[in-house]
Amino acid sequence: MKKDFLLVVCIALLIAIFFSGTKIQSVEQYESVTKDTITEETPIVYLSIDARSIKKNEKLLKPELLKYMPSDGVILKKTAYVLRKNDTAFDLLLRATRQNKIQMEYQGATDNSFNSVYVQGINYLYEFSAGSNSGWMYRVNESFPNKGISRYKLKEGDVVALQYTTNLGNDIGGRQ
Amino acid sequence: MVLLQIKNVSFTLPTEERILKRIDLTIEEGEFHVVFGPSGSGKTTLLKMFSQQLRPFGNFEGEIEINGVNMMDLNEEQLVRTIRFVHQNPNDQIIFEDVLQELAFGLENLGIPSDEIQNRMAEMVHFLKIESWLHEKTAYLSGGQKQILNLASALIMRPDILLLDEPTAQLDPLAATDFIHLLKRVNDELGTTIILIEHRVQALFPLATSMTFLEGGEVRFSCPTNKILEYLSGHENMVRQVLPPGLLLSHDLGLEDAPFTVKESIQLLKKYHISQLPFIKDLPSTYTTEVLKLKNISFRYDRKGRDVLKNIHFSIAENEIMTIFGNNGSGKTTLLKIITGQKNPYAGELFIDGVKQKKLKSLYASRKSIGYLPQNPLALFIEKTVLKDFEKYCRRLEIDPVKIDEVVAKLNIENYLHKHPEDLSGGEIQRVALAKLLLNNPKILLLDEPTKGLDLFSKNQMADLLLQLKQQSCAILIVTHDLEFAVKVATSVALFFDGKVLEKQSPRIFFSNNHYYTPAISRIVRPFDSNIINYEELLQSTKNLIGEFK
Amino acid sequence: MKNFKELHPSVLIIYYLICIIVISLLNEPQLVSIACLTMIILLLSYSTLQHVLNELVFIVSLTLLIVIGFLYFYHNGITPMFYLNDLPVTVEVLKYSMFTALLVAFFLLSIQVMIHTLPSNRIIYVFTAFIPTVGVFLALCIRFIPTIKEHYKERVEVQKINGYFATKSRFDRYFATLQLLADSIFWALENTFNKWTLIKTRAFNTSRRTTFKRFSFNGSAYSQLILLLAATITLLFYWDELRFYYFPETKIIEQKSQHLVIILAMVWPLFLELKGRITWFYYKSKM
Repeated sequence: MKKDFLLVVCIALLIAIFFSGTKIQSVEQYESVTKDTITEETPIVYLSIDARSIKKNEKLLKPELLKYMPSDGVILKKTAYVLRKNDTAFDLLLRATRQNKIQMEYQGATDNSFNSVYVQGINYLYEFSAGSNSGWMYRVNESFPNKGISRYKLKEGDVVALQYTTNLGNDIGGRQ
Repeated sequence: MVLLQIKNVSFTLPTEERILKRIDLTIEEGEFHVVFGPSGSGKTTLLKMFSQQLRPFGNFEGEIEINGVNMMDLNEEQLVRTIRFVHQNPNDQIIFEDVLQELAFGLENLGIPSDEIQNRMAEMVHFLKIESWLHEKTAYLSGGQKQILNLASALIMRPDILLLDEPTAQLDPLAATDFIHLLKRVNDELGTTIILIEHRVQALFPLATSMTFLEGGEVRFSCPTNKILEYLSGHENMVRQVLPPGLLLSHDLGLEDAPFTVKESIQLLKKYHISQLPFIKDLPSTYTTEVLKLKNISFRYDRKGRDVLKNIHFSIAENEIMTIFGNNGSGKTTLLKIITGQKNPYAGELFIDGVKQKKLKSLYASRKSIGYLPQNPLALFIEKTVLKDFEKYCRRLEIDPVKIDEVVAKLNIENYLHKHPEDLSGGEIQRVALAKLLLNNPKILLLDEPTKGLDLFSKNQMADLLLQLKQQSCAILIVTHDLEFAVKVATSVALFFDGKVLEKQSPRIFFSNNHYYTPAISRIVRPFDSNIINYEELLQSTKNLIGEFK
Repeated sequence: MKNFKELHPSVLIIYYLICIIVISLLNEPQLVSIACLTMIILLLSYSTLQHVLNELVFIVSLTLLIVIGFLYFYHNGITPMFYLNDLPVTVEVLKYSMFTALLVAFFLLSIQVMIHTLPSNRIIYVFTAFIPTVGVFLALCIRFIPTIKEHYKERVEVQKINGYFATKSRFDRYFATLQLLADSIFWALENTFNKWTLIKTRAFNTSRRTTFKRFSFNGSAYSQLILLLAATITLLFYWDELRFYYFPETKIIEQKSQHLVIILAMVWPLFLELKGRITWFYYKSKM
């Protein structure tokens, strides 16, 4: 029976690996990513990432994360990026975090027409890292879209903001 | 001193069926009281009257007094300490896996301190000799051991009265005898009053102090054992069958002696100066065509084990009833399984009607022309009523439903057609089971312990039925312990020993040659150089001889 | 032989429960390793070497699978070793996966030890002693499935022999088998219910009940219980200090005095075993 169990787990693992792929890069390879140049004609969008809500409730944060929290709570201040064709909000986030060497973990295929990506954590801040009602939410132009982040198609001039909440969105002014 | 007084007790089921009709019984302290009677006479129901929980729904009238106090006035604890039960099925009464825990359970419920519990357990284990299997799991105990455990659990509560409902019905003869002797020890050495419902009454005569005959819900008579002959009149045909042969002989010859055991019967014959009894010429049976043949069959369960069946070689004809005797666990049931095809021998051949049988390929195939009656005939039935079951069976095997009417008429089971199989008594279910097997017109009938738990009256009916079937060219192979039954039915007998089926012999030769594995009558006539094996022959010959002396 | 196995079963149950809960909550590398080791040694003393080796082989294989799985799905941690599908594979995840696998190993091994030290009849004993109804109920449950099996097997065999399954239609056969199975289940239920009636005839009531003391609370039992209590209290009081984390940066492994209390409670059975064996050896030499 044990052998059967191992076999099942093995097969499940192999299937998962098959579906996610096996693209291996070394650290240097990953970090060598070119920044887009911004000219006058290139369409621009903006991105900011902040966890200011934690500043008000520092007790809720897991102690080991304090070291990695910026003092003002701003992980990425509002920055302009080139809008590439068919970019979604997630594509933007991915590029930005990669370029700025900000840790980001996500789940799901980046193929936006197939899956919806789930952003698990940015800058080591994950869901429940600051209490049981904490997590990441995203805004575009001040409102909270009701689509998944990888489904939101960006238009020129969109301002995307990733914000960390400690109580289901109430402290950043959003409905939960 | 009167311990138990049953006054005018009647019990009626909600369906208006009267099970017990004005029962009056007195049981004295220290009695070993045997209750007997045909199936369905209400013996078990009478037993159930002694416990609130066991009593079925219905209308109870009358009084039961224990030691002069009405049973209703005793609280539960007092009742539990006074009366204890042992039921028929060994498995139903055991709760725990642990023997020790099982023994302690009742005492724990009564709030007896732990030290005393330990003491009583030690006592009981020594008295009933349970040491050797004290640490086994209860699920792995044999039937006999389980019943002894049940007895121990009952006795450990130190009851005044022990009520047993056919405790040996599911046990093989050896375990049954052991159990009965244990009961006698309990009665003798502890003075516990024992009320025992049993079918194998013959062997109980030397042990019982008093007997009650229950028939149709009424007490026909109740008397001390040695006075039983006085009460025979009016119940002759029923009671005759339970009397040991010596006692019956004494009664039929008009003698005043009351021999209960084989020894006493021999002494009786010697007393009347009988020195020799006739040696009857054995007419060998002529057999017609061979229906089943086993040739050099050998079988074992796994490669490294030992042979369960060694080189088995015998055959059965279509007008033959063959009986095989042997101990439980010796491999007799395995032999039957080989014949039905459920197991395959590693060597040897099996022929049915001259056709060599191949291994059954599919898991679901079965050998045609074989009918198998298992030890537990209830296993044959699936549906809620007998008739539905027959109909389904006919549909499945594509048998013309008109056969059902045929079989019902032949076995006289019209009354049972609309009953649930579990509601039928032992004898009834055997008849119905045989009927079901006959639907498929089998050439060979395999019966595994067909008389297990049957009362004597049903046994006789079954014997008649089998003889009838034999006339209709149905070969029958019976595996049994029941020697008296074999005398009635068998045309050939054989012993199963050490994996082999020993030489087939005619019953007369077999029984008269054996010293121990014989019915009581054979043992009685042995010192007189006789080979009489049934009662009629004995009566006939002694009548002539004693008639000369009187 | 007075050793861990012969303690009152309730002590054993509490030991396993508390060990598993404490170790799972803390998830600290040293504790998990020592816990694992303790279980391996206990298993060695109660079972054969062959069995333990088989278990270990299984556990190592499972560990491998767990580590690979974790590396594929967890990407937290500050020190990436390389990138897989654009997500980092970090040293922290490696450590986390290894020690989680070790935790799983501990759990599996303790189940094995439980099987060897707490056979079903002892568990029933504990319940019957403290919560009688549950004990009796458990005893009936344990026999429930074997009863179904026996009843079902017997009937299927008899029906097979008499040709009931010889139909050509496969659906018919499956349906018939299912019906027999259902019958057996209902029969077993009824049988259990009848047993309950018989239990009541043995004056079963939960009020004035005593227990026959097959196991006693001796010094070893008390010492084990006290240690377990100390461990639990330590855990509750010093939770913040003792709490271990792997992300974003693995906590530095320190030896704390609080750990000692927990470790002592965990390895106490080894001490009891050792004491038992030495005493037995001593007695044997005197024989």
